[in-house]
Amino acid sequence: MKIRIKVKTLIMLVIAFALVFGVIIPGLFLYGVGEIEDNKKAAGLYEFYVNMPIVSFRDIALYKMAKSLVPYMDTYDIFMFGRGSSGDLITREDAEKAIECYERILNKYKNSLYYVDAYKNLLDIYVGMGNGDKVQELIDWGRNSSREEIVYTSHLYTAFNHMANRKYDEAMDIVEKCIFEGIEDRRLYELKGIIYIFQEEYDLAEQAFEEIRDKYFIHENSRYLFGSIRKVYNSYWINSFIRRYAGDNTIKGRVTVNGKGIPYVQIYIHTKSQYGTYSPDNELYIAITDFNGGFETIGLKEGEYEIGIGVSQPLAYDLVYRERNERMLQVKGDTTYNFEFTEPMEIISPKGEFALKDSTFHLKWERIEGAEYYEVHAVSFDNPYDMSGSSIIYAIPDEKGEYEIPDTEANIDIDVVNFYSSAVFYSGEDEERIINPGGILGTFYPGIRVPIIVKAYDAEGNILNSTLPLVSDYEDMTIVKVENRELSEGERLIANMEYEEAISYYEDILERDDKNTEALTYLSRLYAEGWRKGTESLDKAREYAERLYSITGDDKVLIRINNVSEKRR
Amino acid sequence: MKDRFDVELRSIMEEESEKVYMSDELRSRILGRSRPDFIFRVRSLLNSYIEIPVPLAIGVVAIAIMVNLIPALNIDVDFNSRRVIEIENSQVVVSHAKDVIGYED
Repeated sequence: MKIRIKVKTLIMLVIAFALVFGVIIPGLFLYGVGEIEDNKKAAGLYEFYVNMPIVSFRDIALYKMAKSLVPYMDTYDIFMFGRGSSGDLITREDAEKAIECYERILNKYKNSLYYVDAYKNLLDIYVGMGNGDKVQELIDWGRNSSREEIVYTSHLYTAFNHMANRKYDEAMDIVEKCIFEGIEDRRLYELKGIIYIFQEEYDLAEQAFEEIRDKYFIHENSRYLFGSIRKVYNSYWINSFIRRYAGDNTIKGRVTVNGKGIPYVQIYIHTKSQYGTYSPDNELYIAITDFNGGFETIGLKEGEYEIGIGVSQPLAYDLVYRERNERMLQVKGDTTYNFEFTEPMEIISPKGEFALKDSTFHLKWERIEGAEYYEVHAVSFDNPYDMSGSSIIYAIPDEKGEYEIPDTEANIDIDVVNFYSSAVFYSGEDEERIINPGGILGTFYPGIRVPIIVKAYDAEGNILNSTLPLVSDYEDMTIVKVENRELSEGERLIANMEYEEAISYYEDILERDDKNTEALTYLSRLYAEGWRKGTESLDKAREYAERLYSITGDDKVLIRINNVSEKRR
Repeated sequence: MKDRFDVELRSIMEEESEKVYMSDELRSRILGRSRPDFIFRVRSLLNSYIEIPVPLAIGVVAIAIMVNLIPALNIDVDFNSRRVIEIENSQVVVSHAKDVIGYED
């Protein structure tokens, strides 16, 4: 079968085909993807678009893909006690892909509408990643650009770099020069205000922030000022800061990874009243680290503070904070405090998620220099089946009942571990509060997943390293999936939080078989911990435990009761 | 009769035109005028008909689309919804949420 067609009709069809598939459909596609709220899905679709060999508006798709991957860089905040992060998680992989997109725009699409913003966003990602060398390289590149906006952006980040390196006069010279040349950029005035704050010229800072009000952003507005460096705010904060903190004492220190300084890290402080929280919201950084990771805060009043830092989320990936056994910092005169990070130690075997078919497993980990001892920790979740809800991490003993292990390997017997008290959660309130199944069944029971973490300590109890970094991938963890047996009927009742039914069930069993070890074990535990408020009875628990001991002769059955008695005392 | 007339007419014409010559200038002028110009040729081409086998037409369109779409499917960005497990203030990223959909009683 053949189509008979005029040549001119054929040509028209080819042009229409190219227009529809090259311009109209791509335009509609990009518009449609822009309406998707899930950034991850949007980024995937933009990548699909970018990968097409023949397509228009590729620069737009590249820019939007990068923005979907890294809309902004939130910080991971670490205080002496609390730590954590808020906002959507940006992984290192996301940041690396976004860098690739922006670099493609800078290399191939000089006339793109997004050329200048791509340059600025690329600088922001490198600031967030703490990569001072790349920031400097891009600044040098931008200085020679034929585009005025690129040259200005290069000056803006040069001023920011000077500020981070505490060269405040050089930074201010650039800012003033740009303002003198008539550049009306809100970001420029914000930078000016921060430089004044770091120079402790609070009145001038206040004035600079007043001037911000009628200014607009030259680049796209963003949640953060430079990379993950927070914006400052207003004169209210400055007054609040002066009232609460301003003084003559400084804190100096370094933020390092294996001894190498990290630039552009924000330093915060909390007063004693904010102890235990990690969010620096409504507070301002009191220093930024320089290219060597060093910092020196503005003058503070003498007193006790909790010091903290903010690093961007992609930077926090695969870093372990070497937490010090200190919770408050006494500031008097010049005080020094360092934040040290290292790469996580490794569990050599078993790696990843593994099904435990037996009741024991052998754990082996990397030796850490200077470690006095190691501890094996288990993680218990509110909902252990899908590892959701709140979690508690706690040390578990090896098969000999030892918690502090001097060697780099240990045999873990889950039946032994279950003799010891595990993480106890309560759901509900007051009279209705009810214990979690793991509180009775123990750390390991069939069907659940238990992440295992090893920590190395020095002689003073400071953490030298851990297998759990600040941010990591699930695949990199060791997870025990307990599959050594099926839950018994009584255990199933406990797992379903039907505790009264479990007690009746086990009491019935004991009536028929007064030496049933499972019934004695769980009745002892249920009465020791108490499944609901007011149900605990140490006497009953002890009675069941002693009956169990008389049968098994294993004194481990008394461990939990002794623990609970100890706690109550 | 008819054949004879033809032959006779022909011989008369040949005899009369034997000594008639056309100048080169006239010849080229006539040829120049009678040759179709470029626009005429393009127009003729555009208005000419071609026949395309249907399977070939479908194949070409399909190939054109596939050549553009196949490389596009090579997507690195993970579409799976990402889940974050919080452990002692650390964040564990689960790229494949189905990995930790566990046991249900």
